[in-house]
Amino acid sequence: MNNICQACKQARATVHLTEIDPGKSQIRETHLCADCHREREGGMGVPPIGPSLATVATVAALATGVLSGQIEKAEPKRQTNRRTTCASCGMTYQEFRVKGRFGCAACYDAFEDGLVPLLEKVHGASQHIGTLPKDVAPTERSREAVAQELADLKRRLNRVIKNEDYMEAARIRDRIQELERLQDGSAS
Amino acid sequence: MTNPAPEVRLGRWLEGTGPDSDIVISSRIRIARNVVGYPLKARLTPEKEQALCEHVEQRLAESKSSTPLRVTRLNEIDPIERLVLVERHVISVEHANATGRRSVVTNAEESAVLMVNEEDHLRLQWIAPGLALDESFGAAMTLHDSIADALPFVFHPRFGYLTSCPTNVGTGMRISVMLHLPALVFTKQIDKFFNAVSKMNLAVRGFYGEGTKALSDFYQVSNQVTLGKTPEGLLDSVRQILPKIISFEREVRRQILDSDRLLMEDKLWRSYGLLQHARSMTSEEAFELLSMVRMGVHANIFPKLDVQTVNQLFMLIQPGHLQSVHGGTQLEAGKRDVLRAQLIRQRMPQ
Repeated sequence: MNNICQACKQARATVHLTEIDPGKSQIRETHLCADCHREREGGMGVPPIGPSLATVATVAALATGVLSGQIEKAEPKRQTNRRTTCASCGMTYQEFRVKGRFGCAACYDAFEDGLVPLLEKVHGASQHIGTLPKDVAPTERSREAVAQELADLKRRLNRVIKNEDYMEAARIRDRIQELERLQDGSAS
Repeated sequence: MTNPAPEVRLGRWLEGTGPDSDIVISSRIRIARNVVGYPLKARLTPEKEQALCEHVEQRLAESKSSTPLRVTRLNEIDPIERLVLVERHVISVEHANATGRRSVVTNAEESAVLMVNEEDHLRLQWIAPGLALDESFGAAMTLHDSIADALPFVFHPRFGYLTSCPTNVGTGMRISVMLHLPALVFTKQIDKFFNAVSKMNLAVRGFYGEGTKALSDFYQVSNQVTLGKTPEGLLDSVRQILPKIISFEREVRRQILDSDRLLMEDKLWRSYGLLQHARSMTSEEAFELLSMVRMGVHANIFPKLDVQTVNQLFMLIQPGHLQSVHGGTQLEAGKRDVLRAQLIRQRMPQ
C-alpha cells in the first residue's frame, strides 16, 4: 500500500516519514523513493514542512530507505562495489543496500569497507565498547573500551548504592572484578 | 460502582505506580541478540527458523532464569490474540504480522519479554512502571547474562554484538521511556520537547515504538545510537534529559490550572462526563478523553477515579482487547465503538 513513491508514483518508496503536528495531534505519513526524498530535502520547488511540524524519521525508515541513501553518500566512489558478495551466505552488497539487513555474521566482514563510514555516520563510531561476552578477552584494540566500561560501572555502582539497591550493586561489583581481572590478564 | 467484568489481567507496567508516574508511564530496556550457528533473519529458511526457535525455546527452558517463563508460539495463535500482544507492548507489529515459526516468551507479569525470531533471533526486554531505569536496566542485564550462559551470541571484536540491521549493532541496546505529555501538547509546546530530545542525539517514537504513530499525548524517548558507548553510558544519555522534560510538563500543567482553573476543570470534567455516558466511541476519541482525564487524576480533580483504572482502560479499549474479550471474533468498527463505550461506562466510577 505504501510501496509506491507518493511524489513520482513510479519508484518503490523506501523513505517513510512520520510527521507529527503537535498542535492538532495530527499525524501525516509520507512515502517517497530515495530520489524524490533527496529532492525534497534539498528544497527544490517543494514547500518546506511548516515550522510547527516536527519531522521524525523512523528507525525503520533509517534502516531501509534513508540508510541506502546514506551508504551512497557516505561511501567514497572507489569502494562502491555492488557486486561484492559475502562468501558465507551469498548476499551481495547491492542486496544489503536494498534491504538494509545483513544475511549473516560474515557479511559484517565482507562489507567492512562500505560499512565503516556508514556506522560512523549513523552512530558516530565504528568501534564497540562496553559489554563483552564472558569468553572474549579484551584485545589491544579494546583496552580503552574496557577502561571506559570500568569508569561507567563505577559511576553506576555509586548511584545504586545511594539508592540502596544492593542486589544490583553486587552484580556490578562482580562485573568490575571480572573486568579488572581481564585487564590484568591482558597486560601481563 | 465500578463493574469489574470482563476481567483481563494486564502487565505490571500499567499499574500506574513507580517514581514520577504522573508523567512517566514506563521504563524499558530492550537488547537485540543473534545466536551463533544460524544465519541472520534475511537468510533464515523456514527449516532454519523452526530449528532456531526450538533451540532457543529449549535453552531458555533450561536456563537459570529466576522467574518462570511461558512460551507462546505466535504462528499457532489467532491474529486477534497477536493483536492483543501488540497492544500490550509484548510483541512488535512486525513480529505479529510476520509469517513462519516464531514465538514470544514472557514471565507472569509481562515485565520480562523475549521475542524469538523477530528481526533478530532474540529481542529481550524488561519493562517497569514509572521512571525506573535502574530497575529495568539491572533486570534486563541479569536476564541477558542468564541466557548468554546457555546460548552463545554472535560477537565481533570491532562491531560488538552483531544484529540484522546496522542501526542496532554494538550494544544492541534500546532504552525507552514512555512519557505522557498532555500539557505540552495542549499548549502547543511539544516542539520544544522534540527539539530538546534531538539536540541530545536521542529519538522520539510513537506509542508502539519504531515507525508508529504518536497516539494521543504519549511519546517514547530512546537512544538513537547503539555503538561506541557502553550500556551504562547509553543509560546516562537517556536519563540526563528526563528531569528537564518532567519538570517542564509538570510546570505547564500547574500553569494551565492556575491561569484559568474554571476553564480547565470544565474541560476535564466534560471529558470525564463523556467517558461516563457516551454510547459509542472510537478509539481515537477515547484515547484523547482518557489522556485529559489521566492528567486530571494527577491534579486531584477526580476524587473517585484512580490512575490504574485509567491506564488499564488505555489498553482494554483497543480493538484487539475488545475483540478478545468478546469471544475472539472479528467485529466491525461500528460494533466495536458501542462495546468500547459500554466497557468504559462499566469501569468509570458513577
